[in-house]
Amino acid sequence: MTTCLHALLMAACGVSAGQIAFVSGVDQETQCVCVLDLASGAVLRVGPGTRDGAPRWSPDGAWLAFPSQHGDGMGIYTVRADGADGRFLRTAHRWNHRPAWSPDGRRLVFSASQGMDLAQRLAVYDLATDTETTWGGEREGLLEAVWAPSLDLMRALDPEEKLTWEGLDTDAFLAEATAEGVLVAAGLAGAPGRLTMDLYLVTRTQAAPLLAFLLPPGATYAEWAPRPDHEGRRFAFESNDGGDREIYVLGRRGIGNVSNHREADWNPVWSPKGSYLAFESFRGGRRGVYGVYPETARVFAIAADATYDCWSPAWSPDEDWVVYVSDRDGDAALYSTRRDGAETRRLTEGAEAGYAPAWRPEAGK
Amino acid sequence: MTRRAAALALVVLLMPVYGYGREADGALGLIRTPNNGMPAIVAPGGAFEAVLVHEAELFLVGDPDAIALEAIWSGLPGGRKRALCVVPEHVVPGRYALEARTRDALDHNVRAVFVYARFPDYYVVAHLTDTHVGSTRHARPAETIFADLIRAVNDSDATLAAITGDLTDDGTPEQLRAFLRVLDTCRLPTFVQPGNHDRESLHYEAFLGPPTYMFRYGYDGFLAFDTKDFVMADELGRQDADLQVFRRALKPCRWAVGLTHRFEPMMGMRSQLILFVDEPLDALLFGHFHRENTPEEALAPWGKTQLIMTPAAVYGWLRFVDMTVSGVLARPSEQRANIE
Repeated sequence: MTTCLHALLMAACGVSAGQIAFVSGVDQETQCVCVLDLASGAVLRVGPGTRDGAPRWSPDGAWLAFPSQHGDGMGIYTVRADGADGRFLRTAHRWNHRPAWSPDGRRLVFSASQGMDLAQRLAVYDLATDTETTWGGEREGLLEAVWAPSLDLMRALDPEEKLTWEGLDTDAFLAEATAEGVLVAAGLAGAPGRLTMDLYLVTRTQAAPLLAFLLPPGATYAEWAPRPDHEGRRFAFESNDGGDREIYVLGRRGIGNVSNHREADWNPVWSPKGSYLAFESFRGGRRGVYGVYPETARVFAIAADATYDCWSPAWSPDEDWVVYVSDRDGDAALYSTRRDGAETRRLTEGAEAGYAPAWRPEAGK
Repeated sequence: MTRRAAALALVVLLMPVYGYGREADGALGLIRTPNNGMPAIVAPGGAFEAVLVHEAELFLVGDPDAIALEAIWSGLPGGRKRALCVVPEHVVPGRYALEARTRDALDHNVRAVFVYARFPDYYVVAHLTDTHVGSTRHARPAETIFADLIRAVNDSDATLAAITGDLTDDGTPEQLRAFLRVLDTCRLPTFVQPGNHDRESLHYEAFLGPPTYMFRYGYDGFLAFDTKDFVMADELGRQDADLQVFRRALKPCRWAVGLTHRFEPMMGMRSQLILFVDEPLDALLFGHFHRENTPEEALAPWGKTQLIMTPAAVYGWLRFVDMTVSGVLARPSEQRANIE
């Protein structure tokens, strides 16, 4: 009966199709990745349920990847949306986090380390051959990476001349990136005791600081959360350039602050077609979900209120809806709302919390 | 009525008012916060926030008076009630119990409210960590080692005690009750927080309430974060918003001091950006490793934040930290209890 009512409710408010993967459970030890079917309201547990982390859909929407406790560390688990064929990857390190799919869905990159320290490397795992390769050459301290869908931005940054990063074999870098792909990573910069973070372009054998190439000498800020758009022509990222955390977009025209507010803005999330960026901001007194037109930097509220928090936004494939987490009714649960903030609906019920939602991409898009 | 019957009647009459509060098993009752793990610290005429299971008449109970408190009530998600309590101007500075009375129930939480007339520019924090009550690793029970340390704190010039996790060995109700028995011998306001050992059972909140993220003491601000959300903090986004809000709230403070059970550079990166990079804490007090800092660990890897790691109380150690106009100055740790 509950499921039928849910389906009617979802249909009435327009959220009638699609699936959302999320982390369910209040207790960290038993948190489990589940898949919510919006049409029926059914929730299917697909993860091992042992400290499962944020799920990521493969580009074709067939698979999920997420970290989960494995032995005395964290492994990377892959599973189909219906819960079939689940397995831990045969990773080489004890601690593995933040998996991200390659554009062709054949490889995963994740941060990997033996100890609980900052000496993390980027591991690229070939799912067909079950082989793991360390990327970034000998560089340690690469903490979070995503695949660049193309080399467009790299070429646009310096179309006429050779790239001139210090210590970088640019010909080899471009050849390797063209042949095997390139990652954008947030990684450590500076020396212990004076650490900061930069963005890096990473191939199998090299890691090149991206912003050091673009910013004036001596301009060091702490960057985090690199996010390329669907074509790889623009990168959104966070930086504390300007005194507090802001969302910046790097594109052909350079770098622009698109969130600009005295309160912290973080976690940029591109819509699937690159029309908008969603992000989290404290500008409303509590943490809320906002959107911005990246070309004009016009910010609009999606889900924000002075009495509760909203966070972890994810876009629907058609860009019309945003799913997010909120504690507006007490416990953390998933909600959806239209891009303009209308038609808010609670998607998960009961005491089981909902975290880290990810809307399933449409197959073939 | 015989003398014996009269005495018994008097005891029965007084028991609800002056008996030990909480539930029969020692778990928190009507009053969730403040409690003897995390008391309210307030000036006469000031206000503090209390969270109760439901509305009640509230009193500050000292010796010998009970002072009625005016409270402004509001609802909280989950059905609990928040009371903004105003402490009358005439209240004499000192240590008070907080008492909640309804027609059917009475809850009396000792050491729950400390009324201070003024805060000095200079004061001392006693830092204890890893008391591991319930542990049988030494000839002496951990509870008695902890009791010796609390006596040392009471005899010191400290005015605030912070106990940063692994209060118990397994987090069982018996161990939490034993911890509270010793804690209640402390004459100072105490801040306590859970560590990984306290999370081995699910009883911590029942005995000590929800984790406190922020409190102020005089000119300074203290910001606490919980080991529970350590590794997955970034991915689920639960803790970082609170840290951001409270870090901002503490920005006007003279010194901002972090309190955690365990600091490791692999903790949630979002949390590290908030606490050590964008608006760095001045110092971080922690334990977990049962040892001193090495010289390489004097600062957080990001710089600016002083790391103060204190050896385990279950091995007899504590540390005093001077909070001065010129900085947060950690004294050498001291072994003040025998373990054999």
